[in-house]
Amino acid sequence: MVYLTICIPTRNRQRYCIEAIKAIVESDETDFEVIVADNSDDASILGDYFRTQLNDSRFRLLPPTGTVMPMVDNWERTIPEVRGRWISMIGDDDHMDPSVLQVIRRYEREQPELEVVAWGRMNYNWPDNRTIATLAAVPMGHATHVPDRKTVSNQLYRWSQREKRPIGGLGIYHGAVRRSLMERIKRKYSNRYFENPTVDFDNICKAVQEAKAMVFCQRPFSVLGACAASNSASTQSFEAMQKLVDEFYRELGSHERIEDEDFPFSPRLPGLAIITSIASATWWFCRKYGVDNEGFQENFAHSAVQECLSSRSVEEYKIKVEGFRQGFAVFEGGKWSSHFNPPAEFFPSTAQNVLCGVYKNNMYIRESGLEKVTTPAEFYRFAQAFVMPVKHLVSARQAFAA
Amino acid sequence: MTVLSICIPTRNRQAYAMSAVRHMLSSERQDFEVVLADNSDDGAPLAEFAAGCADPRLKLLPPQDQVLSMRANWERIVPETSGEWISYIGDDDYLDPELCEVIRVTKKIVPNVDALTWGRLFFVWPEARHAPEVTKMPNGSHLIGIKKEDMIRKLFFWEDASDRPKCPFGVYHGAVRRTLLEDIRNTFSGQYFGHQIVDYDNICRTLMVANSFVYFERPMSVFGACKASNTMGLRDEKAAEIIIKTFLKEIDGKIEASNFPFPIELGITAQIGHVIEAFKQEQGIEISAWEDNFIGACARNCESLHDRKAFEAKKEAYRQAIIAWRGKDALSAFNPKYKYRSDLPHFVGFHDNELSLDMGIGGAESAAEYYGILDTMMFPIHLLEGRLLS
Repeated sequence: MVYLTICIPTRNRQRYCIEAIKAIVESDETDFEVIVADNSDDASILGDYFRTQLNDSRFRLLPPTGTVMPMVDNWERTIPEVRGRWISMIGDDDHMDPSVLQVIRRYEREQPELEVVAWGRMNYNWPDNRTIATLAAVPMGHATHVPDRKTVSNQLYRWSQREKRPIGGLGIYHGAVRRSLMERIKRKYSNRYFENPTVDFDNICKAVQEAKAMVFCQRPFSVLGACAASNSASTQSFEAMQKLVDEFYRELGSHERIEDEDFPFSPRLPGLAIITSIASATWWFCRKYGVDNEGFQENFAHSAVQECLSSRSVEEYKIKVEGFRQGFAVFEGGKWSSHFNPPAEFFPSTAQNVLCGVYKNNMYIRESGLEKVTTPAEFYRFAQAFVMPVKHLVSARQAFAA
Repeated sequence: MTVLSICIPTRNRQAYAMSAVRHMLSSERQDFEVVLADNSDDGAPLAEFAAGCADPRLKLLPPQDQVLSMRANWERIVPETSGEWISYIGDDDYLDPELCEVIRVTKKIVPNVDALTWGRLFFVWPEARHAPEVTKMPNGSHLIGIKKEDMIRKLFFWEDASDRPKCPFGVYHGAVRRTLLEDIRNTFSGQYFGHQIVDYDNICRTLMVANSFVYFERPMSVFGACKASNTMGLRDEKAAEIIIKTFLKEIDGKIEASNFPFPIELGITAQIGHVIEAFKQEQGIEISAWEDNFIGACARNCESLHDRKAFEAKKEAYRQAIIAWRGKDALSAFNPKYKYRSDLPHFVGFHDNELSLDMGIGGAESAAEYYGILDTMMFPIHLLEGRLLS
């Protein structure tokens, strides 16, 4: 038994995955393990790396099974292998600081029923994923919040904030969920740990519904990396997004479809893969498990407008608006079309992706200027120069020198 | 046209000066020049460096036959510059040539501006750092017009002063129009720089002569401190003794004002006090009701010390000086408290629109590298005009 298990499901991005492993190896923490679930076409790269170079008992490899699995199944097979009391998942091009376990311990002492811990996440584009000007982001807060379940439920299932994305984080992906909660989820939800292809939100929906207690720490402990081949890279270009969506559908397998019959917003709509995947997942969860999400349709229409307004060009804006219009025209008989009101004229911001500095409590950093930083882990180390040191969070220190 | 002349007086710290100049010249801008005034014992290193750069934007003034005072080395630069605006920095500092763009935009908004300054960054070079250091980066990016009368209160009346007055306008880590410097020379003693403590002397003169002051919240330069720099004297009492001795050996005029019995060895507050007093005495400026504010600044100078013995010694020395100056009654404004707490860590993070950060960020090896790293986290200069016009 260890305290924390970090799971890294991976497919055909061994170079990034090895970087992720190397960075975690450097941690001085001992009470954690890492499980790498390899779903690659070529098993030898990670196999050889584990056999010949990685000499660390904290790390285990689950080799490919012979047939390519949908992402959701690769996540699914990881959980039974876990020995940790707490479980986290990150992508193979991400980074996570195992010292978060010290903070989880503190929270657990304060709230013995704690089952979900979320924390701030940094965003970083790998150098190979900068086709346009890019900014990394670092949350600057360091406070601890106990989220109110009713508020979170509204924000997650009903999209009450009416922003581009609903609330995230309160789940296993770049967060930590107690093993006992994962088992409860499996028992209650179709005898699986994960069902929906949008795996992160599948888990968030269930964790928020089931957790006895949750905590959110504003201080970031992980980095959402975006390499050229990652899903998040698709935000930089329509073509990249299309390619990834096609690949995703190809490997989807027999599980839940991304979009339900009654939710006609397809991730195949140009530029809309991320928002529609998340919306499909929350919609699907509420419908399947009878969770009240009244107000979602109207809120989602406003969120859709926000998604359009984040476009980088008038052309992109028009394409997104058209995609949503098509969806709303048929969604529940066109009942919600009137709530989707994007402005007729759109003027893209000249500051998008270039405005560095602190804005809404996030530090935005021009990535092209960070010549010595080449991986998410290096970026995390860089950012540690200006985020609250872990030891002060663990001791809940309030007093500092003037 | 040369918008900006960046002047770097230097003495025997060639490596630092080269580092700053090298980074400045890597800018693609063509509207600035760097004038390096070498006052070193050996002129060869910088001569070779300048020849190697072969960049028309760099002008080197070689050492003269005799070592010049710092004042004289500053003085000789102005006639050699061609910029419409002039800025001075130390050889272990850095200044971003993008300041030219800030000047251009500022002039558009405030056509008669003649004194511009900006937020501060501080960097202790790695070899002079004994332990991790937490420093601050302002996050603001507004251009703010500042009233002259407010600055007069800050400087001459020491209003709201820390251990020094809060008036940042001048040629040092600020930029002034060339015409302003000419006005200063014509108005005062026929010299651009009058006092041996050149930065604060210039602040006094700039304040008297300038018409319009603009403060840009976003940092454009870095105050560097290497082992041998004067700034180190502010951080290390032992280093201060040596630095002051060397400084006094190389001056070509008086430092002390009359009837102001504060030994300059007392610290930064006493030193600036002498500059301002000397200027007031030279110009026949008489003001009252500033003394208590100055004495408060003396107290804060004591409070900046970490070592209790050093604190007590400085407190007693200031006490004696204050009694000699204004009598025992003046001590009612002098209440320094030993405040240093070794058990309290410095805050790291974002608070009050400032980022507190570890100076070792990104492994910066020089003031220029440090600026380059923090530049990725500050308001982009090329957006300044668009934002103001919107």
